[in-house]
Amino acid sequence: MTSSPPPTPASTSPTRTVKETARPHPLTPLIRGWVVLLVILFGFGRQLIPDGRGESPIKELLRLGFGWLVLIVLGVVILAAAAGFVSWYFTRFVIDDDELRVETGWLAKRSRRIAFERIQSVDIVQPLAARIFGLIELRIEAGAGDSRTILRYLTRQHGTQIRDYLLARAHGDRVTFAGSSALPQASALTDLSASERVLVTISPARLIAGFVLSTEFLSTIMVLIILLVVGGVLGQPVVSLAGLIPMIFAGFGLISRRVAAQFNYTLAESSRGLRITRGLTNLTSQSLPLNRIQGVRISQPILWRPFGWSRVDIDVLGYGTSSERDENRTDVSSILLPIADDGQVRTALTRVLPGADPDRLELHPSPRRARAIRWFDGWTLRYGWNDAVVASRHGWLNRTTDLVPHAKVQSVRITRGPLQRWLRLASVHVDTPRGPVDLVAYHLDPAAARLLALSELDRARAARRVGQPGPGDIGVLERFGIDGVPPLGAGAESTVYPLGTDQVLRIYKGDHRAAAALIGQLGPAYAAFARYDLGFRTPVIIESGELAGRFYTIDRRIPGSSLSTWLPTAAPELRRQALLHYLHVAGRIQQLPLPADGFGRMFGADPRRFPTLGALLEDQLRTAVRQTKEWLDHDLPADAVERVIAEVHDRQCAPRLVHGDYFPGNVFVNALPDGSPVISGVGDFSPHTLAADPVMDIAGAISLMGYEGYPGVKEDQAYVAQQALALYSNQIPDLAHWLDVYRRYYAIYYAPDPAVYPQSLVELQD
Amino acid sequence: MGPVSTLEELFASPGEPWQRLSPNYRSMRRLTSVIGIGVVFLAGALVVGLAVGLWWLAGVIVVVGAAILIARWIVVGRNWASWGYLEREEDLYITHGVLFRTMVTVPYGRMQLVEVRSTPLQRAYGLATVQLVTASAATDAAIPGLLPDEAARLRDRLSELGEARASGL
Repeated sequence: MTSSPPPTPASTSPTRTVKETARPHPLTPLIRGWVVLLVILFGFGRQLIPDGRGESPIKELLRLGFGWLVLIVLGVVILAAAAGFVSWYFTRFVIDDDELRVETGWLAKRSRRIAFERIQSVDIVQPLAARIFGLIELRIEAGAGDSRTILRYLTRQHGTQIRDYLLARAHGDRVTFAGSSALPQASALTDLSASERVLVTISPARLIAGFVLSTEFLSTIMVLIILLVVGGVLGQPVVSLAGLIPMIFAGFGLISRRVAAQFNYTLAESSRGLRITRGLTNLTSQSLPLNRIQGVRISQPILWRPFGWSRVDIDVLGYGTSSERDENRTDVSSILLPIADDGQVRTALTRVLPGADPDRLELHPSPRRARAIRWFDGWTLRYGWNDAVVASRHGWLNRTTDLVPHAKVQSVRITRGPLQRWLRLASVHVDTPRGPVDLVAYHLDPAAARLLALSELDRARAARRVGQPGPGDIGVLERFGIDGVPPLGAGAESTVYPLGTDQVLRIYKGDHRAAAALIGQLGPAYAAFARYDLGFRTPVIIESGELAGRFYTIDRRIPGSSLSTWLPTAAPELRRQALLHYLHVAGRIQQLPLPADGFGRMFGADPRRFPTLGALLEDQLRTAVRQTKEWLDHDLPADAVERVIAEVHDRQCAPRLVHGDYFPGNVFVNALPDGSPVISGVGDFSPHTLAADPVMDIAGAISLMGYEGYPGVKEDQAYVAQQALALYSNQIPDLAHWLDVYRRYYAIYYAPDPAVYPQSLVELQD
Repeated sequence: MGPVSTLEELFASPGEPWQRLSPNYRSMRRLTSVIGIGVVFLAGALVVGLAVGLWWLAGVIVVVGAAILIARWIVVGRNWASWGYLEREEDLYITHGVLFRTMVTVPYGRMQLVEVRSTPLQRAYGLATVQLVTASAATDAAIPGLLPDEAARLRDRLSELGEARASGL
């Protein structure tokens, strides 16, 4: 197989120094002048409103003559435009090897430097005036505590190109400026033909309906009515008028924030994370750095409940401070979804907090005596956790659910006031950075409070370990110049980091000899796989070595994205198409070459051979059961495991390659030019890989799908099962029976994984 | 005793016994109480006695002041005794408060900054405060009333552990 050469850092090749200089668009001063004009008109307009006594300073001015007024306004606009021109002429945006420079100033030159790796997000904003001319501004957030840098205005094409380049560099990808626009297509995390895929759109009708039913709007209306009634009763309409005007202003402010700013709301996904586009007059495009999201709050006002709508806010590191300073700005906001139904909330949550899944979250109520303190909503207090998040819910008029991923927990507090002491209650706070999320489990029994707090610390600790490079990884990452890049994923054996656009760096964990042995086994096997063209890619190790005490490999990146993350976002028809192909690929894995004869484990610490299939599978199951015996004995009918062992001994077949962990998470999906999905590759052959029965991967493809949590998965699973019978029944006698045996086999085999265990029980019980 | 014991266990140390604050901290808080309460009530009593001549009222004021001072003396003692901190393998635990009791736990990996502060009064008593800062403003983790050596040791150890366990935000 050919492979592209490793990417060379741009800084080491002086001949290819990238330097891109841009200047704001020539229309910039004009548009800014226009903004000044608007401000003046708005200011005058406000003054024109009589201030109760019916007199206004503008009336006086108007007596001077209308011509004068126009002249004054024109003069101010021209002055502003001239100043704008000078500032435009002396402004340059320079993109250098490793920083962005903004040079401004005529008499006093100022140069502002932003190192690429410090860039946190780049948002595109289109104010109305600029939008008319097809211009945009870029807002760059760099590091906490730094002020925002604004590049304005640029043509849309140039602006998006700069944005893509900056984001790519901020993610540690070494790309050339010219190459950056082509980057999304080439990147492995992008799938499908377009670089962006729309996840959620919110129709204006629903936005407005939700606004009309919102507490904020209704309370404004209520106050209005009360004012009118009071005014009417007192027979003094002027009194209510004086109160009315600020109310109307407040109402407009509310509409502009809740409706105009959120209009045409679209949440899309690209290789660089999520992006929100919204706005009626000012179009805003805001990218959401997923790793900076610290928590989620789902709130549901009582009037939205019959429609199943809710609003989703997020804590983003650094946003809390900036949004407070300029509250009226419509640019960055902590709103993830202004109004959405359950399905949309779930779609967004799978991106923002993978594994959060509020449905699989068991929430416990606070004790009844809490109602003595929270008499108004004591019955709504809930708390709970699952593998991914800790959660609390409270409220009746506005039911709010707070979710914080374990890895983002800053600190945990138990508090107890005098009333709580008397009632034997305590609250547990999970602290997050500033933002809308405020997770408190109110008024728990002391024992429950202590359990929640201490166990949450354990979960947070475990989650932090998984979500970050191991201490030994950093040395390797530095050597490749990608330290600070978040991992693409982590498995039991290794952590994977992106390396350029077509390679990944895989750093093996822990035990050196085991890692070296596994690489030694995988290398030749992958090389042998690569000689077969079965219509999908298999991993290829380009280079392997040992650095800073760690074993690593550089693998070819399989194009596309994980089927597991793609499925929840795809339309049902596309899903079925992809899943059908997924099933076909499961049937084709057996055509990959086996390195040796006979049944056995292929990779890992114990690559043993077995005389028969039954002996191999029995050994697999007994190893798994040894780790889970106590639970299984307790939770299962007595002979469940022995029955599967007896059944696998009956199976007769020739040894074939079995992936052993064939499920959507290990399969990559990509798009054909016509937009239809196709399985592009199968990754992560591992110690689960066997020389065994080819039916196993077909059975795994079906039954391991059950762990995907998206809505509609049950129907999809039934569809795949039915297609499997249609496809393979004529080749494999008694297929339905064997699929059922292997379904139970996998349930036992993967039961030691605590995340899988509950589902395993379900599979084994029926 | 059942219910009380669960409440006590709520704030019990998760491991070894709590590390306590230096008694100097109690002395310092008692001194400030004596000065504060003493000045207010003695001045009040003197004003009432000298200006109005109601010496019996001045006597009452002094008695009330003395009663408040005694109560304050006890409260300061109990508050001092309620403080405790504990460095465990992965987290720092701090507990304090009598009426409003709190136990905050900060994982070392979440510390952004460890600060040692001391006011002139604290210095006079040979004390310092160690303050921990995380990305959350709600994290309320300060240990007042440590001896300077202990404060410096704690700061160094926390920074070291924080660095070793640092995890991205």
